[in-house]
Amino acid sequence: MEIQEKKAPVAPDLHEYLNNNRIIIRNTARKEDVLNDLVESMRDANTVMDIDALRAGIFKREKLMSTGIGLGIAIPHVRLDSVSGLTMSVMVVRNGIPDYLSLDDIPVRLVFLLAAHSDQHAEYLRVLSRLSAILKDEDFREHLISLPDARSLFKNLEDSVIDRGPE
Amino acid sequence: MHFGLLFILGFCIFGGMFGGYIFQRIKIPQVVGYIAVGLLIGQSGFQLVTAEEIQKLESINLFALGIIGFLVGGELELENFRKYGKQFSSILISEGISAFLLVGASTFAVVWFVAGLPLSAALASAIVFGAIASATDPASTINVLWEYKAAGVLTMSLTAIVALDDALAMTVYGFGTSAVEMITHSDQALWPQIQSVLIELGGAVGTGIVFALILAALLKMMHEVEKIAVMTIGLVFLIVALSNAAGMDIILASMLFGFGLRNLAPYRSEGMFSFLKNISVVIYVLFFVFVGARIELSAMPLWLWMVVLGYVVFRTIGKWGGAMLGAKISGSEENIRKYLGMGLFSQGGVAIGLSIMAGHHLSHIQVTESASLGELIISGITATTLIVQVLGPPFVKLAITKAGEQNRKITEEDVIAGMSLDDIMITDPVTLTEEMPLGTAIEWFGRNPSDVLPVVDSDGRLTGIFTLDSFKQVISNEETWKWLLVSDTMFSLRDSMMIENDLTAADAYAAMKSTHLDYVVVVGKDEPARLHGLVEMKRIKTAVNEWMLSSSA
Repeated sequence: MEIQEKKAPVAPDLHEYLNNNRIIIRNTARKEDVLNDLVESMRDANTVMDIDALRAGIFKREKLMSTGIGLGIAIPHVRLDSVSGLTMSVMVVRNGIPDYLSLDDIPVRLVFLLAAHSDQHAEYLRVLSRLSAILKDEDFREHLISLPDARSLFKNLEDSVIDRGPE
Repeated sequence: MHFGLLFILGFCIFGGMFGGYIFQRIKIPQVVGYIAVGLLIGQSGFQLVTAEEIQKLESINLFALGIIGFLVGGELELENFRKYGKQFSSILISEGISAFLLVGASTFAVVWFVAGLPLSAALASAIVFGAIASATDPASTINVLWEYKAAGVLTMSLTAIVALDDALAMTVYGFGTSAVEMITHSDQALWPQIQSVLIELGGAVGTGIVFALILAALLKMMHEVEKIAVMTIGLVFLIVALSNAAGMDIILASMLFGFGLRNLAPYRSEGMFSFLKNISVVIYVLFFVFVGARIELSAMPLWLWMVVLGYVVFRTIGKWGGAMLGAKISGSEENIRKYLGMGLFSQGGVAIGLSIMAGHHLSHIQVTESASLGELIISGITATTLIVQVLGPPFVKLAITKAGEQNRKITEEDVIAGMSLDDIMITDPVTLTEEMPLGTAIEWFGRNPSDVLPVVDSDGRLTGIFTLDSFKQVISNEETWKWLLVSDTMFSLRDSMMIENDLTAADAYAAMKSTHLDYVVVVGKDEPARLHGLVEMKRIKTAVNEWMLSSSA
């Protein structure tokens, strides 16, 4: 773990852990289905060795405390030995997820699921921190929710990661 | 049945180590044990190892000489030379020259009057035995100093003298044998002989310093002790090969290498030297077992035994008396004056090396029907080596004991070895729970004197570790503290981070050294792991410092 912390302090390139196949856009959904579908979208990721362990890990973490962090955002996340590298999937639920508890009670519309290896401590926290920081911008959030497809969502996320520089 | 070289190596290392252990138990320095095992299995004993087989392993011997030279050179700090230069040079010259003259005279007398050999043979023997007598074995002397953890003025002087008088012996030997060769075949000129001695010594000094400069430059870029140590071993191989090929003195070259490095990069090379010292034990064992195995006691005429006896007696008188005289001239401390000479009786690698060279040089002088002067000198020197090696190390021990310098060099490991786990363990560490919000955990962390907080799950099972590194990535993003939990930021518990509660403080220290972490968690033997306590490196360091302060007061 100490070795990883010596790496460059910039969050890794978005391409390395997200692709269009793992970006889902819906109008309505319930929390359980959202989490299940986001996990399921990682089935083809070569970084995820055990999809059931991932599902169990995500739901276990959710039991400790909901990952709705406020401002309509949720970031379910987990570190596991059966995940070999940083992996993300994204869902936009335009009309909100009614049963996703969040810190400020604003309905969750953007969900970013992040999985990482147990020892990927530093990168994992850096991505979590950076994601929550860029999503603070209300215009940016609304813009993301209004986008028509996965491809444009990816592009926008990528631009924001580059434009706004490191935290 | 023939088992091959690997078998011999294994047998010698294992047997040598075992012999060393037995001798250590009966309070004789281990190096005597290594040699005794060599005698037992070699030419004079059961002949399990033959001379040809040892000859095949010559490269290992050369490498051993290189490593020994390197480590000895690393013991010498220039600062000490400046401080003690005057007394070193007068003691050095006095003990070396006294031994040379006295042994030379006694050898000459025996060879001339008793054996009735021609004048040239008597002179040649006198010079060779005399020159070799002036050498002291750094390896076994330093080995004893290390074994008894000696430190002090006497120890330092011994280290310097044994390292320096090999150079003296080689100079005397070089000029002496040149003189002998001139006496025995008067057709050769003096100048080429002197030139070859200059190349042998000067080339070695130059090569050693160049290697030291190279490694010192590398040390500025590299910091991992293990990697540096392995590279150093490679360089020792190279310097040995180079010196051997160019006819330069191997020990002197590698000694200058170690000496140069110690003084060019004293701080950076420290870890590497102690690492190499630990792993070089196997080389030491082999080297001394081979010394013992080469000795052939049965093929020696009676007068040679008289030479041997005279050599041992007069070398002892010369070294002891000469050291006293030199110390007196330079006005040294009492401990040096009284005991330094006692520490100079050992002879080893250099003496045997010089005798092998003499054997080569003087093989043309036939003295008995079956043996040349060269061969007799090799047998004679190996016999004296055996005697003084039995005699020498216990006297080194006696000298440092009398001077009160034994067990003074105490390491962190030594102090820790005397501690129990309870002495250094926090038995009631503050623990965090997995579901605790990060903000609360950071607050607890700030209030807690320990830098490490174990994490338990809702069933009280130990699952992770929370340290500053756990949250430093999000320390500036306070928003995240609200929704991240301890379980999101902790380090998962690995087996290497845990030790069981029936182990010792030394085990805890070793575990931290191997994980490179500043802590280790102590758990009970039952499954799942229950927290018993926490050991932190900083507490060990404090405890060690306190112990050292209180013991030196």
